[in-house]
Amino acid sequence: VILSVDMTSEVPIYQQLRDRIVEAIAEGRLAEGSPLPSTRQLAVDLGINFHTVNKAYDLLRQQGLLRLNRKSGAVVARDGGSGAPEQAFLDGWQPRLRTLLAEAVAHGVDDRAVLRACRDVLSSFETTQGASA
Amino acid sequence: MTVDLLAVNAFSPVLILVTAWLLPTLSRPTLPFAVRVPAEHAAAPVIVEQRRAYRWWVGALGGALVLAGLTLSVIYQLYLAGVVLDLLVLVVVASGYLRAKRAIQAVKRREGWYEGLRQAVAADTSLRTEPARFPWLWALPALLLLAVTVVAGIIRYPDMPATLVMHVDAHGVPNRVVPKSVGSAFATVAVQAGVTALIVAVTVLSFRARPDLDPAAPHRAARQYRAFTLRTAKALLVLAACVNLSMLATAWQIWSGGGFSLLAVVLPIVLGAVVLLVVAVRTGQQGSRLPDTDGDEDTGVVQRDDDRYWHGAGNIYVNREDPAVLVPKRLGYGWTVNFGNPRSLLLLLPIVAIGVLARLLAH
Repeated sequence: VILSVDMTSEVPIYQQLRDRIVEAIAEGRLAEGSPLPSTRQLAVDLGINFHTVNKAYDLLRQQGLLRLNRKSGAVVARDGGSGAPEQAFLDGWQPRLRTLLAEAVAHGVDDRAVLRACRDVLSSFETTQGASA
Repeated sequence: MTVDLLAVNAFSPVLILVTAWLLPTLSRPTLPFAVRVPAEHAAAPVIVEQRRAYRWWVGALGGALVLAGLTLSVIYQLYLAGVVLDLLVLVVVASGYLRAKRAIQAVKRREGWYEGLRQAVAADTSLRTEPARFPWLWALPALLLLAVTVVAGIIRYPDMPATLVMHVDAHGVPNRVVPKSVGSAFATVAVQAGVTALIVAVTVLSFRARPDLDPAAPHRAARQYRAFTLRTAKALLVLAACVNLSMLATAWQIWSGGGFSLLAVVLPIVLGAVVLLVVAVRTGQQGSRLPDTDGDEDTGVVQRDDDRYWHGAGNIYVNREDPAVLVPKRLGYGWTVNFGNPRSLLLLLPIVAIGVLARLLAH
């Protein structure tokens, strides 16, 4: 799996790294049980601080997407096929979705365009999933 | 004698000259003369022009210098001409190189090649989760030659002359002789063991070095890098075998106590160096010359401009923020250390130690 970080972006590096890994899981490029490099090795490969990778991994662990242990390193803890989402996740995700949709509405994007954009994003995950399966 | 003289004197100046001439070929297209450039400018007129000028400068001036030097060394039987030639060739190469580098840097700055571009870094997790297997079989020749030298030394030890030649001058005439002892008889074996251990260790570490993938075409870069590490590892292990063969030739001659042929010592090293050079040219730095079917990958970002961390004409990497110890060289083929990382010293110490050890054992 390729992880790319934009060094000129205003989005913090740990946030970008976390986002890329979540997208890779959604696209099926990373499945439940897939290993990820150790924090040290990923920091070396990207040429970034070890603590930055640690922060990204820790965020993913808190969200239940990553399992971290001394022996087997970082392992993807769940994917789309691992069953229903936890209520705690939904409770956190829905307010964020609300803010994102509010931004679109505030900028005058109409309902149909919003729904179409959502469908396009979802189907982009499915096509990649189909392609990698 | 003239053949010996030529072989000894010509080896390193010719190797330096050929390697220098090939440098622009080995480099990645986005790192001409150790200057980071975006892919869209990789074929800029200034780069094409400087590459041509550099090759002419090194080829014509450097070539003439080596030819003249070797001719003089044969006419006047100068045995140390090689060392002087090395230095002169290096001066020619460095001046041509620096001129090209400065010219490209000036245009890059003036035209603002990186303005408005999204600069990124990329990693391929599968290089770590499904790493290439270390080619241990390729280490066998070096280890076998080491074993053969040890066994031969043990068998021949009782019949060795009472004094052993530890050093010869450029004519092959002994100029330092020591009494036979286990230390003096097996000094070359210690060098063999040290060189083998060092090359194997560096090769193992190279598998963990930063691939420095181009985020514009990360999939292609990762495939090329994988092939590059494997090919380089094999070439380095062949080089280790060649060094051990050279050391076996040295040891054999020391133990026999007769005349000393430098050619037998130099030839295996030449062979190893040629193998490494051929592999380098065919592979390119980080596999940049390896053909790849998927040529049109483009993610819309460019690799981060990290020129400010490279000093000494693009040879020395100093970045305290970078946790990496080994990073791909900008100039040439293979890896270099990050001098901004204290752990790099752990890698440099054994290299110095082997040199010191070889000297101590020889005394």
